[in-house]
Amino acid sequence: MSKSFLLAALLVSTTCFAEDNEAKLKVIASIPDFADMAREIGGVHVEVESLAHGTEDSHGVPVRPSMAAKVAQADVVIEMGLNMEHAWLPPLIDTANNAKLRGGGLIKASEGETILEIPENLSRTEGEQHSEGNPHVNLDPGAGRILAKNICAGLSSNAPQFKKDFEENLAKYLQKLDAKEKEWKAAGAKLKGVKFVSFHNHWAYWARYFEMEYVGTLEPKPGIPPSGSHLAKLIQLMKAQGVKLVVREPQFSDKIPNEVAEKVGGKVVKLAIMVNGLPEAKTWIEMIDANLKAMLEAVDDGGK
Amino acid sequence: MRRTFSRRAVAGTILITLFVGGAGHAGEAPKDVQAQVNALQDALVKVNTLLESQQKKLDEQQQRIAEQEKTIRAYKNLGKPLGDGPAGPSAEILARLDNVERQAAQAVKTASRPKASDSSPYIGAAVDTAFRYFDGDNGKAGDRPSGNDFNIRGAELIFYADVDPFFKTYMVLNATPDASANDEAVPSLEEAAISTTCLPHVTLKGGRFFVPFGRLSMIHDHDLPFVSRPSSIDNYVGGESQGQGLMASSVLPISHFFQVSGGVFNKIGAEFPLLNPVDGTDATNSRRSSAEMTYFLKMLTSFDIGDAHTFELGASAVEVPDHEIRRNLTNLEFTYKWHPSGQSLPQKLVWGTEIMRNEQRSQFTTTATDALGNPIDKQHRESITGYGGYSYVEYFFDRRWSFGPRVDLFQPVTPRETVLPDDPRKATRNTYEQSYSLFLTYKFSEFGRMRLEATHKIYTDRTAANELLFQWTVFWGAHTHGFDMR
Repeated sequence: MSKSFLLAALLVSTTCFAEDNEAKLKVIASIPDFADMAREIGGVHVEVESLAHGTEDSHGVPVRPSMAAKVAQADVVIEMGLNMEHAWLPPLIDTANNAKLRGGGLIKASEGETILEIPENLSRTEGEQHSEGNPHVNLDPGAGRILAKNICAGLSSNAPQFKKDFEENLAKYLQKLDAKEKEWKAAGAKLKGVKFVSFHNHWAYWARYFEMEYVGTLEPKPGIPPSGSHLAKLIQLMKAQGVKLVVREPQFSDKIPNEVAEKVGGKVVKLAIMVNGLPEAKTWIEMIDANLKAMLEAVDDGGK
Repeated sequence: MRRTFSRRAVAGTILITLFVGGAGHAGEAPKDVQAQVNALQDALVKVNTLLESQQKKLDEQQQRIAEQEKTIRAYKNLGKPLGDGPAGPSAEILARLDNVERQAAQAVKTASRPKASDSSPYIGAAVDTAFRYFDGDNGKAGDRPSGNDFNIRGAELIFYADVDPFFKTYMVLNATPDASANDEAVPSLEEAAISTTCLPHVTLKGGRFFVPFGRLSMIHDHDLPFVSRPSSIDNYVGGESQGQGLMASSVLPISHFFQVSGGVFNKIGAEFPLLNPVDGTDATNSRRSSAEMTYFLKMLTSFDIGDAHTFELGASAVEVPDHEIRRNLTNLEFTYKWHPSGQSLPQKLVWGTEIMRNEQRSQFTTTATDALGNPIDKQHRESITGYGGYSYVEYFFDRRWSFGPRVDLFQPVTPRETVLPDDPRKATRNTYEQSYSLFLTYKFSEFGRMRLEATHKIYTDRTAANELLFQWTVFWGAHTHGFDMR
């Protein structure tokens, strides 16, 4: 075989297998909220996909083998952490056996957030507790900043060649968030002191942000379906405290929330717990917008 | 505004007081009046001096107040943008606040840092109990009595841990009562295996573990979708697919899900006899050649149609190549899942099917007589092939409730038993043992459930039996959701 052919073959193979610094970073997000932020921050340098659609229970997204293939090929996986995805993401990561995820490729979006409801005692008698605290940080209108910063830091450490662009995009996104937060605070002032219940304990951060009173849940304990005796006590409490607003999340039936609302003369409002949880919630900002709008309409319509 | 004491007013007041007082003393001698006037003048000088001192102090305080007001205005003006925009914190203040938040978060994190003891293994357990009523013949009741029977199907302790950056490990200890030994439950090692975590896209697993042959043979009894394991799996695989050996598996790094697994074992099947060489010597005094090992291969893929429909297709094979002991078990598995998102109910439907072909060599001895009437033993070897499988549907109509039917058929294959020429099983070789079941599951929570199963069995000798099972299972401690349990 001629030397020139060998040299050409070597050059071609080197070219084919040379690291392509302009290749896009493959990002897999556990939930569409992080996919949206990753697209905002990553811009043209990322290919992003979400494992959850947004209408599921974030604790119990059905595992499909195709998800394992996506995780196997990812450069980066973004998760909430705080055990929110413990029932479905770790088995995918284990099966995919992607070495990149052990070397800093697994980004925990909630890092650094002040976590609410960290249990002092862990016991199964309290239902399906989250040992690290309430994980539904993505429902905190004030958490967008920290989620976005963590995603930016994670993308930058995995693709330092694009760090400058990521940080520029982050700055623009943070400006957008600043403006939106002023809007939300202004519009949400009406919610201050409004009492409500929900099906599952999703809304602690939301209640804190808008200074609402989160009275209880239709579930007697996390992950335990509503029982007749618990609902009777809850309805009594709602009547005593004048609670009229019942929040229903997309993965739950509206039957029990409707019954409870009828008994207290209140209103059911359906809110998204992830992006795409409502038709008009295509981005994280839109999700907060849509949830706020729905809640304000419900309050105006007799939910207070 | 500068405040001043009105010195004139004060002086005037004093003079008036003195005048009024002095008027009361009118008529005193001129010398006394002069002395009093001198005293008044001295007092006035002193008062003036005091007033001047107080004024000076007041001036100083007013100056300090003015300076502080100036400082406050300066701070307020720091965030004021050009134009008419609302005031807000400056970039510097935001950066400093951000830094303080991060330091506080770090402090919290440090305070809640795991202690050395937190690297202990995770421990979980499962307690699986059942009541059975079986109205069939005693010989067909399996390893438990027919009639009424309470049983601990399994009391399992599971330990799992990351060993280091390269390996992880787990161990399962199980105790099941032995009806032939007064229901004594002796703990035994069900699984103990080591897996690699450091190889890209490939996992090596070695030890004793359930080989992923087909779909359900690798699932522990308490994790099955129903109470009893399908008879086709019990008979062909030998219960759970336990094996001791080494396996490699990989989800190929392509966009489509495709998983390949392969391995070599002493044997596969918890109840399957440990193969001995043909000469019949026991395992401890024999030599197992490469051809006498059990080889395993599996391929699995899946297809999604939209968001709601998932299909999984797999093919598995187990082979013992040795001509004398030959075992060849192949499996096709098909699973369909309907799980609509966008709906407000946790509805789900699973349809699972496995079809198996089992070929086993069996050896038996016949006794003939020679010309003198002396008995002569003659060895025979026979290859027996059987087909079997099951199919079930499970519908979840609620977070708590699910139910479904199951059909299970197989042609009995008896491994390595002596089969006499007039054995009735030869005559029934082409018939199937059949089971038709209905099952209902109620989940209290993720960690506890009850299940009811009713089965009608038809055996190859045309006898029938009915079985009613009630299962009560709980899990405690640490728990993992394995990919195989999807």
